[in-house]
Amino acid sequence: MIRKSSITEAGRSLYASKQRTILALIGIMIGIGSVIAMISVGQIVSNESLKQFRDMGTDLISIEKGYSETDNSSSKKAKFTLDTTKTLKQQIPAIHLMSPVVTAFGEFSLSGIKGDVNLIGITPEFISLNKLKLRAGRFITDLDRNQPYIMLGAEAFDQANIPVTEDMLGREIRMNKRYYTIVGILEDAPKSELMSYQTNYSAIMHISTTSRNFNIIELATVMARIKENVKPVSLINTIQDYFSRKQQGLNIRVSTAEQLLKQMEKQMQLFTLLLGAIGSISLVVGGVGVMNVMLVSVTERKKEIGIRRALGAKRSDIQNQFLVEAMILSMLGGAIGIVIGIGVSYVLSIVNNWEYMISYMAILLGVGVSSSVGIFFGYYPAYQAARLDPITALRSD
Amino acid sequence: MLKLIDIHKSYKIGPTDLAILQGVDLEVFENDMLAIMGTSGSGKSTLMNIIGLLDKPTSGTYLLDDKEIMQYSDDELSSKRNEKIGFVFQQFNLLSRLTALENVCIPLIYRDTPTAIMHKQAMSMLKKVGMDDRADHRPNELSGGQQQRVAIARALVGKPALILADEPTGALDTRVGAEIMELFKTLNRDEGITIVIITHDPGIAEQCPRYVIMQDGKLVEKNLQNKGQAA
Ligand SMILES: Nc1ncnc2c1ncn2[C@@H]1O[C@H](COP(=O)(O)OP(=O)(O)OP(=O)(O)O)[C@@H](O)[C@H]1O
Ligand SMILES: [Mg+2]
Repeated sequence: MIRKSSITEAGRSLYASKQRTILALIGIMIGIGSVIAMISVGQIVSNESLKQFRDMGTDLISIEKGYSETDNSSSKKAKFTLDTTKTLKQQIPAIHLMSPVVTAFGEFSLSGIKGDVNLIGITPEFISLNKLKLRAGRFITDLDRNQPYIMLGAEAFDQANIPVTEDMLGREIRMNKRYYTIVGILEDAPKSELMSYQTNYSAIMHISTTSRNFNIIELATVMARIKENVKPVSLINTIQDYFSRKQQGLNIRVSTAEQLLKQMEKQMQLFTLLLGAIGSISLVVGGVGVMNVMLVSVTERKKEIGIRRALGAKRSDIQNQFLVEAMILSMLGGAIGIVIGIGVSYVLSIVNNWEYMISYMAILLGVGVSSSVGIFFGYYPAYQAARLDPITALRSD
Repeated sequence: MLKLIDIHKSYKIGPTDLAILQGVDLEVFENDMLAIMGTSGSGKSTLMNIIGLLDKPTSGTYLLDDKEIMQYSDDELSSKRNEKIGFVFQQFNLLSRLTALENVCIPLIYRDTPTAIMHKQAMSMLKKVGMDDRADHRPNELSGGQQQRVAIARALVGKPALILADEPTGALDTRVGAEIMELFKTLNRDEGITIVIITHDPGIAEQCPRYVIMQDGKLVEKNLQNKGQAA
């Protein structure tokens, strides 16, 4: 049982040996602080990298051509074309948005500046599926079929080191000996690991224009969104069946955002855990500091232990007294450590431009860990104190 | 109250046994006031520690309230010390971090006495030893005699039946020592507390109705004539 008086007593004796107390506090502070900082940073970074992915939604799937191990002639001949996707939505009603995409690569020249640019050919559904927003101009529509109109991703000319500016609207850009008019400029588009294209770093035109002008037959990918109450994974086989019926030997690989997200979350957890483990090393050092202070304290207060035993303290009373002291030490250090850890992770987030979030898990962990450090590293010295023979203790000074 | 029969105590020093107590017999009665004398190193403190349940004899029988103490567990011994015995030491043994009042409170802490009651009882004990005006002083702000008074208040606060004082006046001058002796005599006379005092001072021993001398590891009873009943 812990008495209220043993808490005030412990506070006093810690105060009486200020220097040692402060040194032990610093140790435990750094220990808890680094665990909290590491875990917070881990969580912030995971959140950062998963955020955009989540923004894109877990109803997203990508359909791509797969390569079968049994490369027979029919699977080699099978082509993943726009035509094969025409009846996809009709036949699989769970798919409510479908966006076939072709990709290409080109050299451009714009007002005398030359560079490389990625090209994406799309259908209008691409826009809602990718949650695109306009900065200026208009989107590509079905009216742009086979027409030389393009819209630019937010950093379409990044490879050429040219910023995309609104005054580019209406200008003509030359690619592959043809001229295209810039009709729209996009805002920064959300990204997903699931996509094999990069909207932000591309010039975008109607799929028919890309196919014709750049001579592209096969789709790079088909992105799709699934209705809310359907589990994406349950559709994988249905989709594969659909395509193999459409095109004999066509091997299709379906990836779902859900699976990928789970995978990434697992990796991120591992990453956070690893950071936490690195932080724990300094925590152990801090704990040993507490133990050292407590051992010295027990040695210095042998006489006191003897007096208390003579006045009726039981072994458990002595044990508790020192345990409480160790716990106060480590919890106080822990509290300061939590503040330091949060501070450090906050500063790191600002410096690295991450979205800061306070990690309640880390705080909870900090409180839990610091009290367990107190118990764990305080137990041995407290046990030593309790085990002292009253007479031996009383005789020492 | 307590009875020692053929108590032996020896310390192992290397391969040899150093026999300190070699068959001590002693009976202490309710309301006794007993002095123990003896040369330095004769084993007085050793005996006192055994009586005070701080140490255990190597062999022999120690009956406290007719019960053999060897059967007590460590926790039971602690409780017995707390309830039954008050210690007064030569070097006072006050805790320097605590005030006089807090020092006096210690025995009550281990009985889980509520704080308010604890302070009240400690205060009345300080009053009894004439130290109530120094309740908030720390030991290093008190003279030796004052510290010993606080220590006596601490020994008394638990209302023990027995006070064990190991050279309580040893660190004090004659006048202050006499005051402390007066205090003991009053406690013995007015409150019926049994008191055992170890002393080197024959003057102090003479003031006790009964005194024994430690010689060659045994106790020799002296002025039995002062006491109505014989051991
Ligand atoms: N833990 C111990 N180990 C070995 N010897 C001990 C121990 N404690 C006491 N002794 C020895 O026992 C003997 C008696 O000691 P004790 O303290 O009882 O003497 P005392 O009669 O109280 O002497 P004083 O009048 O000087 O206080 C001494 O010789 C001492 O060295
Ligand atoms: Mg002695």
